[in-house]
Amino acid sequence: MLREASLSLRAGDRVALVGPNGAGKSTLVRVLLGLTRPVGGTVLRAAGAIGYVPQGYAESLFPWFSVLRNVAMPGLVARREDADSAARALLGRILPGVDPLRRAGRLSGGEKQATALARALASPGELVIADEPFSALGASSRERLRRVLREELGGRALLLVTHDAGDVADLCDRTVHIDDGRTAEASA
Amino acid sequence: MSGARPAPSRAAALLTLAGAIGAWWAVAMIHVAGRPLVATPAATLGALSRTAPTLARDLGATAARAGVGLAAGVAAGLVIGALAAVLARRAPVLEGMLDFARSVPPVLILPVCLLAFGYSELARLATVAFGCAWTISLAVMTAASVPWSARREMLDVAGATPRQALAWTQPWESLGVLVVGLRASASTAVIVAVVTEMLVGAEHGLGARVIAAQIGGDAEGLTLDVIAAGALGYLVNLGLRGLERWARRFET
Repeated sequence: MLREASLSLRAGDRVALVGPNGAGKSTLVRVLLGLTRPVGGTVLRAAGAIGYVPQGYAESLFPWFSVLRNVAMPGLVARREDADSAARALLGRILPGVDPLRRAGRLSGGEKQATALARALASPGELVIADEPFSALGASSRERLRRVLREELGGRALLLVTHDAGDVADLCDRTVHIDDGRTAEASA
Repeated sequence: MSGARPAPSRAAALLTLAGAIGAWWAVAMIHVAGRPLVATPAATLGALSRTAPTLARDLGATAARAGVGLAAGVAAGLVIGALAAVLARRAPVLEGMLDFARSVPPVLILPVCLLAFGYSELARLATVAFGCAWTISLAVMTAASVPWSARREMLDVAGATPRQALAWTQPWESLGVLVVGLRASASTAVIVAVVTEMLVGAEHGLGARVIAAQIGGDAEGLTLDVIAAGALGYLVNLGLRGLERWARRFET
């Protein structure tokens, strides 16, 4: 449950949201995304799509569609003509060994998580929210995808929920701690 | 403790088949009031060789009756289910009413259909359709009430319109439930088609054939017809089980 949570992100900000299990990290993310309605307080956000990697990444994929269509989803929904080519280019970097036309339901856990990350990065929005986006990945994949995330973000803002100090050091310039639903900001 | 399932063996399958035929033969040896309950396997095979052309015609008639009735029932069920899914949000009692309608044995509706349509093919088809429609409509209602999934949330976050979100998720998330409903309805269609043929003098069909064999005291023909009806139901079920397996592939 959130009690005194406050978080602000501006264009280009790269913020880590850290805290113990059950502290309210995912709840805060869901409130920011508009998926959970807060009983009090205010959420102000710019209109438009948000790239999102949920904690339950496997359930968030469309197993009946190809990996390519999954990644292209944000672009297709926004009716962008380059949705497919942009998704293909991202997949080439994020999942180079996977056939883009493979059905998403047939991917391994790590591949599913990487697909969810690629989909978030394919979003035309100015904000990417990633809730533990590397939790199912091995050390080398984690390292590689951190690099891809950093490069593909461009000028977009990032809110990264993580338990990993390496993720924070590598990707973020601000850290927000959350515990028992209360946030406190610290320099990274 | 977890035991690995033994690999299927051809010898075991043949042995089981031989056992089943042996059991059939043993039952055929039982006579009640001087008459056999069922014909022996050999006599049934003899009946098959004698009556194969007419059996094929009657099997086809029953299959066609079940198929047309099922198609009509599915069409009606889809419309009723979609309407009920929309209306049930305001009147949840609708789901109970559909469940009640499904619980009415379809063959009891045959007299109603006979009154409405007369002693015609239409009455039989309407009865089969009635038997199928409610199961399908309940499946549609269940499919429509699938909880807001993580995939819907992703589409919401991506800025999808409700129409886009529906197109990306609903047909696929509903597929499994609808195919299960279709499978149940198809089994009902075969049963109801045969029963309507038995109750109202159909010219062709397994039901009419069974009644004719019973009246004529033709144990071989009767046994063959029962097996043919079972085979028809089994084949329909087998085909739809394949379809269900295919649909379930999309869920994970």
